Amino acid sequence: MDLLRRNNVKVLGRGTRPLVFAHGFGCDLNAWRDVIPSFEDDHRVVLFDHVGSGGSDLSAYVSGKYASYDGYVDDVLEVLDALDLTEVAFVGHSAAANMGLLAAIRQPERFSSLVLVAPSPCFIDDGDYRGGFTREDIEGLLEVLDSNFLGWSRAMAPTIMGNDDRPELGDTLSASFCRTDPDIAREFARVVFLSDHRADVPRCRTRSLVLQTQQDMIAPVEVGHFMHRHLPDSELVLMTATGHCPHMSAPSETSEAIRRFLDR
Amino acid sequence: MPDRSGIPEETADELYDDAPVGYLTLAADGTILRGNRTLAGWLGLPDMTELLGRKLQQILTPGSRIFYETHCAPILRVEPALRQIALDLRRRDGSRLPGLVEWRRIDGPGGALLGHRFMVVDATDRRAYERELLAERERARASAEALARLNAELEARVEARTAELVQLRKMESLGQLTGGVAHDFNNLLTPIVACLDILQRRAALDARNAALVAGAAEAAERARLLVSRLLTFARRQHLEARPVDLAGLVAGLGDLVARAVGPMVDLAIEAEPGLPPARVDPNQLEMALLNLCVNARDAMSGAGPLSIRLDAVEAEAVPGAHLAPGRYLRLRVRDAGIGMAPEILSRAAEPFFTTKAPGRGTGLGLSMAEGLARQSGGALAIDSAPGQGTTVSVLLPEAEAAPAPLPVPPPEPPRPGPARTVLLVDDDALVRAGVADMLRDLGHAVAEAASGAAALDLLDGAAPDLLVTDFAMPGLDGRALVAAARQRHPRLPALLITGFAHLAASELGDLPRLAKPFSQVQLAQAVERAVASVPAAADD
Repeated sequence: MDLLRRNNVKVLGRGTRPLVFAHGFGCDLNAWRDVIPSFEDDHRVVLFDHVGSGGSDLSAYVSGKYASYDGYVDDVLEVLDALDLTEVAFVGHSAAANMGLLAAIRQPERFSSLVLVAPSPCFIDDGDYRGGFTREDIEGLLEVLDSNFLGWSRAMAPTIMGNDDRPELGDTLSASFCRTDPDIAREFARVVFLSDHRADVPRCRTRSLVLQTQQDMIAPVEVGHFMHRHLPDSELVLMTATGHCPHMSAPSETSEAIRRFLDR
Repeated sequence: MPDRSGIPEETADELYDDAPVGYLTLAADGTILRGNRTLAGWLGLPDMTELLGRKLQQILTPGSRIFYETHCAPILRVEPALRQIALDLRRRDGSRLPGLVEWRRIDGPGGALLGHRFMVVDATDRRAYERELLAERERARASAEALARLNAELEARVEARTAELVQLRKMESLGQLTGGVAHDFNNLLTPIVACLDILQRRAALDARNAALVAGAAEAAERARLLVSRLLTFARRQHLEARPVDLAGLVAGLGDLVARAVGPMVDLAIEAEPGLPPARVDPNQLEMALLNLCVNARDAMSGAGPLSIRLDAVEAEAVPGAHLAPGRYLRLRVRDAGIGMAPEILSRAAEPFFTTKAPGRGTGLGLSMAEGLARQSGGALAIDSAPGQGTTVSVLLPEAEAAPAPLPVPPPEPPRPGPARTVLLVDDDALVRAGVADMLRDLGHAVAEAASGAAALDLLDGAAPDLLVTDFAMPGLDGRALVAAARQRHPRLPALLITGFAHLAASELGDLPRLAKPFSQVQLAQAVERAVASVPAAADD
């Protein structure tokens, strides 16, 4: 099996220091479009799609394997191994922040540092812990996923973006959205929003940066503090950017924060 | 242009506020800057003031908020529009308003993202239909899966039945082959037995030659037995089926079995009390039971427990045996021997298949028992696994009539009766010559014919005392010949000789018959029986 094709791996940049970007739930590698230019001069930039997302090989999606983060973590480590990367700086957004965390626990020697963008180890409220959601909320999400990927909206997908005059659409977020497989989306949503990896956070010894935005309605600021408190070797940066995707809404602030952390 | 009705033209604000869709203007981060009255009303608000400055995410249900943040917000950053998105809005009272949403990007100077025009339609009905459709689709999928499962099961069953059928066909053709070979052997044995018989009776042999002839006769007798077993497998044995008290038969055979299996085998015989009789040929069953017990002994290397159990079961209780409905007597022979692996088990009842050392078994025991059971309207079932021993069940149909006492063997016949004229018909010259010799030796005058037609020519003249004819002949067969002969001589006694002992009475009529090969004594008896079966009358 060609791992690089399976995970739609792209290697860019003119440097040697490996910098790997991993996208979150609902996105694909295009999400990093505005962040990577500032690293291409002095890094070996690696982008990839999780199996089931973006331009990955959908036929490689095996339900059992991807029913937990383990399958995704296996893939991350396989890709790093296939590219023979060590001393890796790994930037993971949201769901991929957890993948980076778990991968670094499994193979600490592989990683030099982690950048966790809008991370959350657990989205469900639990006692004093405020994840932001209840199980019923997640059921609601699954229903909305069905409506968009199984229902009438799905039939409208080709016209959703109304971009017939843009041939490059084949490699965009919109195209990913249109290609979404409803069963994969449901299962990925369950993995992301129903997993609880709080107990794993303190086990990660890799040097880490937590990037927390204002008014993130998916991963609230309390969760950013939780991560910083429990990650043994971590820094927390409270960004001025708002929302759950600072790498898209505020690419400069995001890349500057990453660069400052990596260069230290 | 003023309208003559006096109704003022609607203003753009009216159009905006009262349109049947909800409108919002959003900043790039989703902050609500403006909205229409329709949307405020849908959300249970008097007007939009309460929402201004809040974010779009705050009027979405939590699930939709996640979908918006993970799937929509990223696209809205880079694409000019996003259409036909299903999102649920949250009303003031907490209830859900299913919506269908579109965004159009508002660019600032230099193409920077300023914000979005947001439009939502009430999709309550549509989403309800959609849920129903999705549920229907799920049901259809489940049905299709169930159907596929059923299909796979059916295919597996068909495959199993096909394998069974192939085995049955194989056994059937083996049976036909065996039957044919046995028939030919019988034809060959007939003159051999006849010649040896005559030699023993008539020739003045010295001691050495007499011993040689006796050895040959004994070998011929063994060949006859072997052929008779083959015919049993081929289900072409002539069975003397009658009601038999199996418990009595098994008990009577106990001593013989015990002797056959030896002192190291611990033999136990159990019979359910009050069992009805079975319909079977008792002599053949005895032989089959003896064979099964010897097999059991060999499977235990001559030592171990061997049980013979007798009970009654309904056909449904033995599903694999393909029995006609009804009650069956079940005779089970169980050993604690090495058992059989499936591949051996599947071939166990094939004729000549044996796992015994050369010379230790013919491979006919089980096939013969199965042939007997099937020809009797029952079945034979083998239950075995390596190390688990073997149980062979012989199932025989229950007889309706009460069992007859075992017949007393007929006494040795008296010396053959008076000399008669016999017309002998057989297409096989060797057989004909042998039988003719035997008849002449008995003192009869014999005319020979090689076919039915030749025989009829002879019969156009005076009638013989007896017509002896082979059954299976090209052209006119034995039965037709007899019928044609009786057109000429209605009370002509006739005797059929046949190598196919299985032929039913319906095929032979009630004509006396004699199975090949036979001894001179048997032939003499049959001749007398045949003559006696037709009362002499002065018809010509």
